[in-house]
Amino acid sequence: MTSHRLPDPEDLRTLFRDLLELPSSVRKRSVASLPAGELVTARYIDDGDVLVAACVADLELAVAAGSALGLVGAQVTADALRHGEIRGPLLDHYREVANVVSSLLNGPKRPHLRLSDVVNGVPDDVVGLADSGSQRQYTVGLGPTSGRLLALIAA
Amino acid sequence: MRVLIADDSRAMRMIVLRTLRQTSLMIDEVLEVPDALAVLAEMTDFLPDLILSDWNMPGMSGIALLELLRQNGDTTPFGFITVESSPAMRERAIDAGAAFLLVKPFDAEHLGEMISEVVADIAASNAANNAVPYWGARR
Repeated sequence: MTSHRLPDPEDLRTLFRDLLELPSSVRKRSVASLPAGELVTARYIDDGDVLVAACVADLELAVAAGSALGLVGAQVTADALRHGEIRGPLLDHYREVANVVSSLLNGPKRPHLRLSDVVNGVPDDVVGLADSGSQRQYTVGLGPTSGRLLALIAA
Repeated sequence: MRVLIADDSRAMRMIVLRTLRQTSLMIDEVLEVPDALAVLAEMTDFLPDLILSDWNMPGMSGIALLELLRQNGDTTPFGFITVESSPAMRERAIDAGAAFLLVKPFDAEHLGEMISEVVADIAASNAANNAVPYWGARR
């Protein structure tokens, strides 16, 4: 078995474009660190239920992705941004986006990962992953929305 | 054709349904359910001709569902629509009796191709067995 690898920007762009049917762009940023502001975290675990990877997104980006997948109205989107968290159907929709992203973390000869959960904020175990593992930050454009996404993989 | 869609994501069920409608397949009725237990509950009421299921669902997984159906002698064609794409999981799905495994995200062309192959296989099997023509018989 080889170790996991961080998603390639072009693979991410293709995934977002095909899944969300939105013009999408993904650029790798030179700096990789936990973004400031309101964040949403997707945690990925292995078959032993050990946290191995995470994707931390700007709230605005998570809301945009969830809205696009679920064809959610502008009012629901605006409410999520006003409340500073993603919840309800919008959370369910973003969870599915995060679930599909797991396909980029898996691959031949790599230990299998699956989505564990999606939470508002950045849990302590993910902060630990950011301190000790590999990371790559992206600027993601989904239609008119642009935001940051940080992918983390355990060392 | 009666299609039963099982996925814990409502948005994904909508996408599968929308994609089914974009194919040239004759879809008579579609039922969406959020988990494997709901599939089991609908097997005798809805009588699906095809099950399209996610792999990872809360409670019973899609693969456990398929294995249980086959253990009980149910041969309803079963396709996975999932993020799981490793050769090992694909092999496990086929060994368990899945007709196909389609990886998310997917498009109408690929979904239509996969289901058309299932339809063709059933038609050929029915013809070989002098069975009632396609979709004419219920299990």
